[in-house]
Amino acid sequence: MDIKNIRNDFPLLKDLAYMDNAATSLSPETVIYAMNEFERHYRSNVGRGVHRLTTVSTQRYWDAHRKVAEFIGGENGTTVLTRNTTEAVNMVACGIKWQSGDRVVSTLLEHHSNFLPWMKLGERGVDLALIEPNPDGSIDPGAFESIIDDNTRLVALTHASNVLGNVLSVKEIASICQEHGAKLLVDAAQSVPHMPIDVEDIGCDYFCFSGHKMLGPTGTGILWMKDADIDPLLLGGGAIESVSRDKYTLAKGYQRYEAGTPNIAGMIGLGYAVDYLERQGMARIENYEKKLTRRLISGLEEIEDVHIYGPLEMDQRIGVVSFNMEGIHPHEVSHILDEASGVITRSGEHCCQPLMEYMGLQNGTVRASVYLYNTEEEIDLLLDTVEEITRRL
Amino acid sequence: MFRELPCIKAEGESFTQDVHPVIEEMPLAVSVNGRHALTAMTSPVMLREFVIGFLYTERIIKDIEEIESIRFEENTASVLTTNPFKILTSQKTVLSGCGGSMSFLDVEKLPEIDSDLTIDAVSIRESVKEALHSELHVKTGGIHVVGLYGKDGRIAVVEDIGRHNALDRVIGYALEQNIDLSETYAICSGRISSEMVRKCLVANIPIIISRGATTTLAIDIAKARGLTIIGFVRGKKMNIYSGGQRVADMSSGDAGYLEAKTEDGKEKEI
Repeated sequence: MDIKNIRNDFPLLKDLAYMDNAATSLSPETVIYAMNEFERHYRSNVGRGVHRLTTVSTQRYWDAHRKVAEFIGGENGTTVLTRNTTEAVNMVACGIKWQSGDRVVSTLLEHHSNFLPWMKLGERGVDLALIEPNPDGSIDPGAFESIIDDNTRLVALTHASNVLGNVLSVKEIASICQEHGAKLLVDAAQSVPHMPIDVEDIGCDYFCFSGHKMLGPTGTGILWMKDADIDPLLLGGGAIESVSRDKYTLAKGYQRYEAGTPNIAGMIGLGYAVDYLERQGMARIENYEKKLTRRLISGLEEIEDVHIYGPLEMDQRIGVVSFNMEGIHPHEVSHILDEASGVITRSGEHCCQPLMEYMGLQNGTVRASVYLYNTEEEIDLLLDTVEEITRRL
Repeated sequence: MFRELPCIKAEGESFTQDVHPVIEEMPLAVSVNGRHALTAMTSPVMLREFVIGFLYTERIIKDIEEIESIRFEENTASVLTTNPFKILTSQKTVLSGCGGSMSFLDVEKLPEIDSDLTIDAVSIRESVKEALHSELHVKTGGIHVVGLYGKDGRIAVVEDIGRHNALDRVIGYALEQNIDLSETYAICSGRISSEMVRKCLVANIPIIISRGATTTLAIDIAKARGLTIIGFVRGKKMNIYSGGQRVADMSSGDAGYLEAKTEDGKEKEI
């Protein structure tokens, strides 16, 4: 990969070592240009209009859905634009016709966004069963085998932990779900941006991820469904085929889940983000990030008083690395990394308070997360700064 | 491509209720960047290739890379180009026309063929025989065939109710497959019209061959722009009207005979 050229596409990187990609990534110039182009040259609503502007925006909007679907191998499913992963998960939680006594199986690894919507279902008599991970975040698929019962309607789990960086064997878990007639929802917010994905190969039913973590605009997320079998969260303009005084017919395809004027510029931008990632190649991105992550982890391992959480081996992980320094609050570490060296990291609980509690990490962790535009020099800068902090302590 | 439809078959004094295979025809409305470009009457196959070939031979696009996407919905094809706003803001009606060709012929504006391709008479006969063998034509009697051939033989053979559509379709196919058209020749079942010649020139296909006739205008344009026209390829016979230097086993004297002009630059009346 030509990192120098890639970096030129992200002007923000000129002065900063941006390593908070698990929270949100940056957008390349092509994405920003595409959004500006929409605003300047053909801003119009999408749907049934016939004028020249709406024709262009509708086609670009539709193309963006197709590009995203192809990107995850999901052409045979329904690809819906949401605001983010959170909205996608909530759409499924609100769209299934639950019955009292139904069970949802999830894990303690989950981000609040793939946890609270299921907890909330308790009000409707839905039981939430949680699987505890091993200290490095891994979960033996057998654990699912023993907890999924006949009442289990849905299993909701993360593809890759946004705290520990470990990747779960979703394909294996999908086949366990199928054996028990349970649906599988995968929170892929941390996986889709960083590795090749094929939802059909995984065998899941719902697949949720965020556009803004994969070089796309903020305010974009995706709910992919194998079968469009949930009720739409919202009803209104654009979501229907026909309406009369007392009845309505829902539109086919993604439209039925996208009532109201959507984030058109955002979705078009997301399509361009997918183009960008495909040009680089997801397998190459994954390999490159593993190289960076290996360097980061082995560097941190050598520094005294640094504790790393999550797997140390590269085979089942992404470039999300959580660590702490003895005797110093993670917020302070993150602050110094920024102030002293322009290294941007995240600190705190990473929207995973139940996991933090389970791991006994009261203040959370410092989290560095890499992407295709980071460099080995930036990793070294982070390591040097961490070392510098230990010397000051 | 066809449907069995009821028909009354008459023979002499007798009328019989029967069915007959009838070739399918569909209207396809093509819009480019939200503006209507044409409505073509076409066969319902390889529509993507047809649209690409049409846009190319009409010079709406210069390169297949200019197409951002083509969206098909029922009887419409919506084309989006990578820079849709050039056409959007144009005051001129760039696109109009119904049922096919829309470019008027201005020889000066047509490109010269740039190709070193030659073929021999045997290959011409064999490829024409192979390309134009259409079971659909035998069955329905209502189809045109256009084949695209190269040094290694058949590249694509397509059928359509219209030969212009069929030619656009093979050109679209070749563009998508990244085939160098200067190394190919086109074979068609019908008359080689000026419109067929124009499409070959734009696509830089150096030779067009038919089992049928051609026209005076087609030959004029072909001569002016270096295209080879071969007609009436039947059995051991064929008529070469222009660009004879591309027929490998023909003498240069014969090729020169076709190019001979009078002193004022006009065609020699024979």
